[in-house]
Amino acid sequence: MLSRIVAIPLIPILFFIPYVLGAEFSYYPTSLTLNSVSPPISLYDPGVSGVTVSLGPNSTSASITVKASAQPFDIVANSDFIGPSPWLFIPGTDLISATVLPSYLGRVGVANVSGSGSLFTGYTDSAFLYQQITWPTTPILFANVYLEACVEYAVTSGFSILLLDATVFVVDANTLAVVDSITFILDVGSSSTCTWNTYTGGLNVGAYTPGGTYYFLIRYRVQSLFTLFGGSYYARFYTDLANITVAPANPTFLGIFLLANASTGIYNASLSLVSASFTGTVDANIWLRNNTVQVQSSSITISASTIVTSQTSELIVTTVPPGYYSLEMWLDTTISPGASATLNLVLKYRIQDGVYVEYPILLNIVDPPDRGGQPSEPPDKIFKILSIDPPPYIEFLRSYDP
Amino acid sequence: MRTSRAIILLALLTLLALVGTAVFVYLPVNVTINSVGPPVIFQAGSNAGGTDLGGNTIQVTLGPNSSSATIVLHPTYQKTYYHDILQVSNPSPPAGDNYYIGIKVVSPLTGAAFSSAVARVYDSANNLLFTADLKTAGTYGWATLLPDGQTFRIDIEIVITEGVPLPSGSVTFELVYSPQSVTPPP
Repeated sequence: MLSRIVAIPLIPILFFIPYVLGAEFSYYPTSLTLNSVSPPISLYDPGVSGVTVSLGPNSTSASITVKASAQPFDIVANSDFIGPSPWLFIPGTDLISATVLPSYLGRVGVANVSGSGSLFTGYTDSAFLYQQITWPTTPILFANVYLEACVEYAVTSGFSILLLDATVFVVDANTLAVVDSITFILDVGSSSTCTWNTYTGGLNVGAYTPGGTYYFLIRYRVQSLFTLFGGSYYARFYTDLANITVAPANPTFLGIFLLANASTGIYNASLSLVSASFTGTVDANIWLRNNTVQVQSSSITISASTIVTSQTSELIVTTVPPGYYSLEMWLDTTISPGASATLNLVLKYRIQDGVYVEYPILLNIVDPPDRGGQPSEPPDKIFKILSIDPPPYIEFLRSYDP
Repeated sequence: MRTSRAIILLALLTLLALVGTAVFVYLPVNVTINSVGPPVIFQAGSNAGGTDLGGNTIQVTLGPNSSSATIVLHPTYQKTYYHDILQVSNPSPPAGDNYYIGIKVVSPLTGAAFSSAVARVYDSANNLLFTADLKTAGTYGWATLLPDGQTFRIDIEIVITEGVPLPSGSVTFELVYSPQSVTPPP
């Protein structure tokens, strides 16, 4: 009886044992050995202004910051009187001389407008330097006029009080309407020696047509505020800088943000955008360029902070002589003011279909807060001031008082 | 009194019979072992023998019966991905049966420089079936069905931390398979 009591529950347990413990397994051993090698492709800092590159310790990763806004740029050619000269000179009655001095009182490249004459009460004379400018097509956040100038003058006979001023005009080249005018008082009295000063004024950016053509004029003027019994004078206007800097409302950057080279072998490389985050509106194109064979890949495209295309096509990366780079990574971006983007990119290259290597690249696009500064122009041409017959509207400007 | 002692003695004897006395019965079992060819085999992947980084070769060596494999790879810093290095096949002949498979990592890869080492198993339609962490011992992907006539591929992904000396290391894992999936492999 007891054995039955014990045995009966065992029957179902014994019945299931083969199903629980009776499975057969086969094991195939596999050995994987990893012998790592030096990276065949390394990343490099292109040394581009506005691009900060931090490479990983083995040059297989990079963290990059691109300042999209750069600096406000100058729309006046040869604004420092060093480079190519589109300036034209319109003389006055007595202010009839215009020259360019290679240097003067510590400044390099100085325009000198000068003259002398007889004085009487109500005397006034003026001369102009001017050139045609083109307003940018991109929206402009603000624009400033900068004038770095000084005067030397003296009442050489008699007694007079003179006012010397400089007025900058921006005139619509089609309608000849004065769009902006700002007058800077340079000195008042009977004599002065040159002391450099910077004069600044803001332009009414809303009054300009994108892409429109305008005349930028500087009127140098001598006025007699008071003259007793006649007299004479001389005056010399020195100008070291006369520019209009515009700050684009939508900061931009176009250039190389990273370089790569292969130490050995031939590889196919591409860029992939893994993830992205945006603040504000960002438009961007990113592509690879092989400078050795002058070809470039298709682009990663971002439009209005939306990823349109997340991968480039492949380009060949080869070894090149020292000092050269076979792979350039390019960025062309326009962002709204204050906008930024963080792009997690991967540079992927393959030696054949089966072996891929991926380098992480963090690309930050920012609009830095500093918008000041005055860009310089390359001194690449000879300066020359031309004298022509004054346009009809000049006579109107001679007596124009803003 | 004498009767009581007899009853106690009888009870003790009965207890001893139940506890200490064994009765052995021998039922004959005849076990015949007829080994068969491996129904599941390794195959070299399409990139085995191809060019590896640093002028090296992707080395994949199969055992004489395709039931073992030795692999040597040459990764570099960051992520190096090897596509279709090794294949696991269930050819119709000779077995013609379905099998359940998994990967058992026996001796995992060590060293902090290898921040990640993963085997990825894909079917012929490029669907990821399972991954095996080659840095952690254990059984992965059990019981993935390898149907009759199907071949799976194994990719290897290695991530090496930047800023450390280039490391070397090895890992031993087993392909485990069974015609049954009721219990996990020991």
